[in-house]
Amino acid sequence: MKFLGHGLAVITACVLSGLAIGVPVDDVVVSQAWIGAAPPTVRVNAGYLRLENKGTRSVILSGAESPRFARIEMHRSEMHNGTYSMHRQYSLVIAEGETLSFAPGGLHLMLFEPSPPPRPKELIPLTLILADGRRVPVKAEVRPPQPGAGHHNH
Amino acid sequence: MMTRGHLALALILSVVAGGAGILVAKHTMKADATAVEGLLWPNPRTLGAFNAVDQDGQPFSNEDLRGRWSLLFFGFTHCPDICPITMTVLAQARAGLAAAAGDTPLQVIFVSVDPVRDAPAQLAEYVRYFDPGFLGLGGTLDQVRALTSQMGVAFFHGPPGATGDYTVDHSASIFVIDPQVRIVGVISAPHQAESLVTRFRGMADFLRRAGS
Repeated sequence: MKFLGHGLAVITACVLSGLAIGVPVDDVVVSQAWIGAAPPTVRVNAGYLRLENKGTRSVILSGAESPRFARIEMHRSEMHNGTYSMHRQYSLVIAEGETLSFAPGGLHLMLFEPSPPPRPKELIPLTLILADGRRVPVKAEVRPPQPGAGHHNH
Repeated sequence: MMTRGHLALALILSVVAGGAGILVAKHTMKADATAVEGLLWPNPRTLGAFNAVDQDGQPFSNEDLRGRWSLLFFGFTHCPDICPITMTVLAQARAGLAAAAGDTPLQVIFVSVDPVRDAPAQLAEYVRYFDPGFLGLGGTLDQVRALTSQMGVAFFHGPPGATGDYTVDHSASIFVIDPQVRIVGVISAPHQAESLVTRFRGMADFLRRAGS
C-alpha cells in the first residue's frame, strides 16, 4: 500500500511536472499527504506529508500552492516551557537520502482561506514547489487530525 | 490456649501493626500524590472570580465550574495545528474522562485566547464540531485574562502579517479544575486520548481517596 502510494506519487509527479515544465521529478517522493479536517468556519487548515529525497543532491522546498486555498505557508510548531508557538519557514533543505516529515505538533503546511472548505475523505490537490522551479503535485486526503500521525514510520 | 504473656504480646503486635499500617497509609498517600503526574497537591489554588462569555453569548463565571470536573484547554480557532489535534484528542477521550469522573458531571471547555476574532458564534461552531457537548469561552481580552492570569496561562499575540493574519503563542497544556473550583492538575502536551484519561483518572481517584 505504502509502496503503491509512493509509486503513484512518483508517476503522478513525473507526468504532471513533465507536462508543466518538461523536467520529470523522479528524485522527490511525496507520500502520506493529508489535511486535518476542521470546522467549516475556520480560515486556516493544516496539511501534512512526507517528502523523501531519493536523489543524489540536496533539494530545497520553497513553498506550496493549491487551487483550493488562497495561499499556503510552511510553519513549524515549537514548544518552549509549555507554550506553543509557530514559526514560518521560508525554505527547507532535504539532504540526499533524507526524509522531511510534516506532522502534527511540528512542521505543517498552513492552508489559508479554503474555498470551499475541505470535506472529510475528499482528495485535495497540492503542488509542492522546489527552489529550482520544479513542481511536485500530490493529492492530500482530508481526515480527522491524529496526534503524532506521520511519526510512526520513522 | 492464650496465656497472659501471649495476650500482651498480641496486643503489642497489633498496636505496632496498626501504627505501621497508618504509617504505610500515610506514606502511600504521599507517594500517590507525587506518582500522579501533573497533580497540583497539596494546597491547590482555588480559582477566583472571572466573568467570561460562553459559546451561546451567555455569561460564564467561576461559579459555573462548581460541582463538576472541568478540563480547560486554551487556544484559538485560527490555530491550524495544535488546537484541532488537542480538540480531537479531547473528543476521543470524552467517554473515558466521564467514566473516570464517576457520578460527578464533567465538562470540556475551550478557552479562546483570541476572543476578538473568536466571537461566540464562531466558538460554538468550532467546539461543537469536535463534540456537541464541548463548551467555548471568550469575551473581551480582559475577561479572558482574568481567567488565564489566575492559572498561569501565558499567551502572546504575534504581529499581523501582510494579510492582517496573526498567530497567538499559547499554552498547550490541559488544566484540570475539581468540583470545588480548585486548579488540581496540569496535563502537558503532547496529548494522547489514552494517557489523558489515565492521568485524569489518577487525579480524580487521588482526590477521592484524599476525601476532599
